[in-house]
Amino acid sequence: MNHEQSKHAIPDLTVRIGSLELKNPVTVASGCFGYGEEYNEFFDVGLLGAIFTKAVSKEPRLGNPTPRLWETPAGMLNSIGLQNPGVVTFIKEKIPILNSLGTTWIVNVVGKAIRDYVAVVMEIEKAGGAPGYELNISCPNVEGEGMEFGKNPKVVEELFTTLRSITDKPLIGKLTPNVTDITLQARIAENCGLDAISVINTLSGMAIDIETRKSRLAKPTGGLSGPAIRPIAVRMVWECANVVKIPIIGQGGIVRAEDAIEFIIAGATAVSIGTGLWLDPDCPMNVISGISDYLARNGLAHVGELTGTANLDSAT
Amino acid sequence: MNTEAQAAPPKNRRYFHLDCAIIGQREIAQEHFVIRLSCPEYDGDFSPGQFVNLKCDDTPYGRLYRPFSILRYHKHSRTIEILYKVVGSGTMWLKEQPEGTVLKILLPLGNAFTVPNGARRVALVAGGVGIAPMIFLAEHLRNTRPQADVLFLMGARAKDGLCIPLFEEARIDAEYATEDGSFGHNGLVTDLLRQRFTASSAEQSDAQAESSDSAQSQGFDYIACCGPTAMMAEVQHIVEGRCKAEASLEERMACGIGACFGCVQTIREDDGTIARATTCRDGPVFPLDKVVFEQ
Repeated sequence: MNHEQSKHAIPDLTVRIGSLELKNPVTVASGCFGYGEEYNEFFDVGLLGAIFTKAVSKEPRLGNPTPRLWETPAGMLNSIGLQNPGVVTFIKEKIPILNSLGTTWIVNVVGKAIRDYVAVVMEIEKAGGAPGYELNISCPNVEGEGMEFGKNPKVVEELFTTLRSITDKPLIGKLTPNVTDITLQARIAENCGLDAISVINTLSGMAIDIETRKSRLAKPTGGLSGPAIRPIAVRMVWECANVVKIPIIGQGGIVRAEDAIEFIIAGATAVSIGTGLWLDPDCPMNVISGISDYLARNGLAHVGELTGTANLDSAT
Repeated sequence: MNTEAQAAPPKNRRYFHLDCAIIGQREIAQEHFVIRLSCPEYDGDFSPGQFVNLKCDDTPYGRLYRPFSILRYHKHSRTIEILYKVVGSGTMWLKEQPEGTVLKILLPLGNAFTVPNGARRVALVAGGVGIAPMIFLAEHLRNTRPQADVLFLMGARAKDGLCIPLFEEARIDAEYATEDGSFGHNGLVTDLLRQRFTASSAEQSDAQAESSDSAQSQGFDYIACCGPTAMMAEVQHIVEGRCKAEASLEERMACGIGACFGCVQTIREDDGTIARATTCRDGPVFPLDKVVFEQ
């Protein structure tokens, strides 16, 4: 296809995450989209590239008390506490719905110990399996004195190696940004044979009511998301893209197509929208069409041609 | 737009993201505004208790949508009325917007009050801006249950917060309570409920003793409340499950459709187990006896 033709053709938006082919690079982030059924009463979620489900743990979790949310400039803090019905109910009630939505879905898995992650994945595999698994390593590890899994490279390595040994399905590591150097986790993910990484989870944050001197959340701290964190997320995607070859799912404050395109240029193969859904509920569809328009305008036939094309010579 | 994305509504579409235009707003009490929004693309309806999410912002990266209870809906003109109190940056922005301003709106959200068929004596208990869904419910009952005897109890800190003009224009008689004694009963609105509830329960017991047939016409057979948490917890305490009661609850929200679990309420199920239900999708109206008030 020559340049003139590609300018007028509809660009190819399909992307690959391990063995999964997504119809486009626009997905929705874990925790922000329930198990797909709610937003499917608003728009056809089958048009998304993929759905990352809310976290699923071995046992049901009630989550944290309220308030769980606090709005911040161009963002928000949340402290949901991984509320979910547990893997047994997830399999019985949510998988049939997810399978009916017309797009691929990836289950986000959490645990308090490595054996909990194993139990969740094994249960789901026994029930027919998920198209893919995303491993959330931002939760506290009870065997590591409550420190986030992701903050301890040895634990991350053990977790990823263990999970890789029990399933051939696409495995995605959701990296925590609450570390000095996020590329450590990225390298571990690649070395352990994971298929992709999600970059980034929320940044640990805090807000205090100056009248009561209490946290704005029921818990002292929460996770910061939204446009406020986007420059950090873009930088971390770029850093990871410089050291690993596995696909990166970029996320952090995407609301408009240009935000998603920025992540892709920085090195992301796909993107996830989270808080953006609550700043503009139409944004996933607008981002999909906006990426397509951008590719057409720039004479690119496939979205993959844009990945990692940042021109940073003048900045060095 | 060159994808098929825009043209594919889901089969069971429940939520709509539309434009609405401000056709007027007026201050009915200090920092309390009634805003009228024209939403011509919405051809559905609203039931008392439901709410909408409004984008109180004109930048793409700005504020989360703000939830507002419906005060009144005029289906023929597709006009939504909302009562809001200025409490933060979103409502501060909203009150400055002139007629003609176009806002994004997500609707219809939440569930509705479920007044039992045949309810004869109904009490509506409102505190502060909790009045909005109660006015909607009172007008709805007047139109659909003309036989029902509806007692409206309204409380606020001071006279201004009672929003008396709303009662006058809706021609609703109410009993008022103010914490500073500036109008009506000097005290809490729940004092008024306690007096009435105790009296009507006694009547009911007497009536039951005499004739079970007349029992239903005596005590309350439905109570709805909306207001501060402490008020609703007190209503729960007064009623103690002796008649059907519902509360419209509030919590900070993000998605508005039950996907993020940010706005949960703690609920005690019939079997005693504790669950967390979303205010925006499972609520905002909950059976009062199931709500676990945590503050």
